[in-house]
Amino acid sequence: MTVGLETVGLETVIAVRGLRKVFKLQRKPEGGWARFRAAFKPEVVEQEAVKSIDLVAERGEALAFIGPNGAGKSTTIKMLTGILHPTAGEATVLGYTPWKQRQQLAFRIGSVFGQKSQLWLHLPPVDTFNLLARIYELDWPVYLKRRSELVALFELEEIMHTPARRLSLGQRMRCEIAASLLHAPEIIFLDEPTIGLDPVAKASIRDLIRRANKEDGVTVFLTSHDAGDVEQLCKRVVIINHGEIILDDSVNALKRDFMKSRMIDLKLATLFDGAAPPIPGVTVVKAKGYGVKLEVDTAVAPIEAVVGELLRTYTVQDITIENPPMEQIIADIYRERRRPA
Amino acid sequence: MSKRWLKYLEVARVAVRSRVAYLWDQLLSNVTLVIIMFVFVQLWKVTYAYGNVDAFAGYSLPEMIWYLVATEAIVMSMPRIHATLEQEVKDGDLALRLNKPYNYLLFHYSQFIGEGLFKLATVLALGGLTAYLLVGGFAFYWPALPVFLLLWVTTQTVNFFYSASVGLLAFWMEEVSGVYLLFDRFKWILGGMLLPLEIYPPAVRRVAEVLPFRYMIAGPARLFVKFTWDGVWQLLGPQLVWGLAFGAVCTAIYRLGVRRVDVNGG
Repeated sequence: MTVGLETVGLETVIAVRGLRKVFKLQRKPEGGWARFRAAFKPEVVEQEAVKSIDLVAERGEALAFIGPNGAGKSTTIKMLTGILHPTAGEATVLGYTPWKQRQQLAFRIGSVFGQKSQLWLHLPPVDTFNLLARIYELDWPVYLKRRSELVALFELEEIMHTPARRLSLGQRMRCEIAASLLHAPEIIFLDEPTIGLDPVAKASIRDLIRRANKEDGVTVFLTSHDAGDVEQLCKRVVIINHGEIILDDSVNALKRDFMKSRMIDLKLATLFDGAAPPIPGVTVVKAKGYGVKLEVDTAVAPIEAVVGELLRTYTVQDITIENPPMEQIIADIYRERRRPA
Repeated sequence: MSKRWLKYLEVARVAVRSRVAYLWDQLLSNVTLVIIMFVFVQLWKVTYAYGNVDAFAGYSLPEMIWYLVATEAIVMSMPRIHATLEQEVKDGDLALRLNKPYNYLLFHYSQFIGEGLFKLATVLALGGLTAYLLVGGFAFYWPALPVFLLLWVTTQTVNFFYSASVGLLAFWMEEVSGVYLLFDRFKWILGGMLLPLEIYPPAVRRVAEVLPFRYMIAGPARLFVKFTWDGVWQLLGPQLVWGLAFGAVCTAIYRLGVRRVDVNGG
């Protein structure tokens, strides 16, 4: 392995040391004259998107790389896939320096961007798949075999010949992930793969990603705002905030230490009486009319038991369970760090 | 063909298929061509009648109209590559393209040629039919038909690099359509889109002769109505030179621009 990252293990597929990225942004001043002057002499400000991060990922690992908007997730992914050059630092992905050997690396990695499509919208997925097979220079019989395996696994038989624009978001995302696995990548970068999907489609996508990771040994590098993706797909979580890694631990440890509460939104058939449910660890956060929002301390009361008790106590019309938002988890991490040992 | 190049052929093929989905939209948008042709036929009929001549600068009335069909076929078969590139730079779709194992410019070139071929077929069909109904045919040199396909590709290669260079200015500019309009109209006027260059005043013709635009529109259109084998070679040589020059400029802009993405973020 190159770039002075010799200490990493044989099965290390991503090794990052001191990776830093500073963007230079033009600032538009307020006022007509200042803006006119800025057209000739722009005011440039530096923004440190990623502040010297270190990271190692092993082959076959499922790693969640999460953080709030603007934390530096996408910039890091773009550097790891060779799209951006870092300002400083070193990185190897599958032994390649991404920004120097982008094309070679591209043959061995896959990527899915939840908000960008690689499918040709006016054509059925089969055409995009065939094109990708050519782009990745696959042997045709090998490709056809791989395609039929993925079509069966992702249950795409019925939609392979339907123009992509007519597919639902869930169907499209299944196609996107299958398309990115056609060339059997060793690492797949997933950027918000379940964004905008309903719970059923989310579960299906997560199952498929999990199978690619477990059965094919594909290393998963996931970024998501959905804590459910992290919990259900990954064993390890790296949290980045303001360009710095603030936590690198197991998902179990994250859940144990920082995801102790869940929010439950209830819509009742009758007016809420204002009294807190007689369940230890459950408090009322907000109540109005037929709606009530509860916070559950999962260390005191398991969420399944709470839901069961609520359904017995009230006539429930609708129920939604949410993880604490990312901002709250990050605030808790900082709070924990400030606490004296 | 090696797998390294086969991918670009497949991009062109998929681009054709993608355009077929727009067949009716495409035909409908070509209705303007019918109107343009009709107006020009009326204008030229009056001009020929008023001048009481059989030919202007060596062009008979049908040849003049078919020259217009050829120039329109070149211009209207050009996909809006400047807008596509501008959009990709602005939307960040560039990231989606850059992490695939292909050359970004070659990918777009293949798509440009694929889409263009389909548009060419529809423009020629509609424009040709209109011209035939209004002024009749002309002495087209049918054995040279495959040569015209080659010339269309070489002509559009020069046009691709010219337009893509402008589109890639989006790395620096917030809006390139104004600049493109200027560059494009300059090309139309000095490239002989509406009139054969032989009709231009000598001073303007001298300017047009040193610029590349005549090889991008007028040159192939003139050969379409007045084919000579010498003319083919006299066109291909400068097209090669200008194609290489614009290709080098476009590649340089792209490389500088990608570095700029680096500076400013995706």
